[in-house]
Amino acid sequence: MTLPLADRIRRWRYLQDVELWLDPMPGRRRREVLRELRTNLADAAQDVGMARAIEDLGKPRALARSYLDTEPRRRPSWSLGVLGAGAVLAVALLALMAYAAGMADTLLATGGGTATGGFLGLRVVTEASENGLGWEVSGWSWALSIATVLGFLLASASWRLVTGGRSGG
Amino acid sequence: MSDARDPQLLKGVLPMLVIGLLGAAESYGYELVTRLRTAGLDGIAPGTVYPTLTRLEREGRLTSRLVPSPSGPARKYYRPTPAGEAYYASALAAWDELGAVVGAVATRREDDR
Repeated sequence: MTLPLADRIRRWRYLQDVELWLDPMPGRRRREVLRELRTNLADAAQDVGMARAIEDLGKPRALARSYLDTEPRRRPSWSLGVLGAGAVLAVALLALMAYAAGMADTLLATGGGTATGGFLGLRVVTEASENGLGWEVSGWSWALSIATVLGFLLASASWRLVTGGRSGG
Repeated sequence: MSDARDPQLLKGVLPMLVIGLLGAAESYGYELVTRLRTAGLDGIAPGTVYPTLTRLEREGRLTSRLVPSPSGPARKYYRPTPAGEAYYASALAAWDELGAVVGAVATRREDDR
């Protein structure tokens, strides 16, 4: 029996999420788990439909945690680390944009011109006039670099390299 | 069984139930879920059963084989190993002993009333 395309897409999206949270599991076993889940979902979908079959498995993160609890030792999750570092950079970028927009707003309120400011160690030059706006960002931010590295280390649970990542289950 | 089943109690006995059923007949994951439901665990979640299978296999209490399926990818069928059967016998004996204690306490309570 071939699953309808919509069901296959739904299953693929769910298993993508599970795979992300299963990142600390060794690759070979992770692939086996995902292959088996794929088959079991196909079997369950014949009984109750794909939506219900997925719902019965629970949230991807909770399901992955149940599998990881059975692991003798857990590895750091480098994929989550990259997401963590990306989140820090995204927040910093949004804050920088807000800062630069604020500078431009102030300049326009005072008739335009050029102003230089500092944001987390970065040099921000803003030029604002009736003809347009312009920004130039230069320099290196140690604060942002450290925050990004910390975001990576925390999100990846990198301490498991040192502790051996023993789980409670 | 009652709907007010204690999740911790279920977690404790699930490996015994899984090995017990698989000892009677090998099964793949979803089939085992349906067998557990038929046996009385009507609300058992597949998300609880599948990781238990993975753990029991890693611990050497279950073994598996892939069987081609007409409905898609090969299914993974599980059955107990000798270590799994020994675990089952031991867990069942412990469960019987515990059940006897619970029964004795309940009987004494009724008698004392």
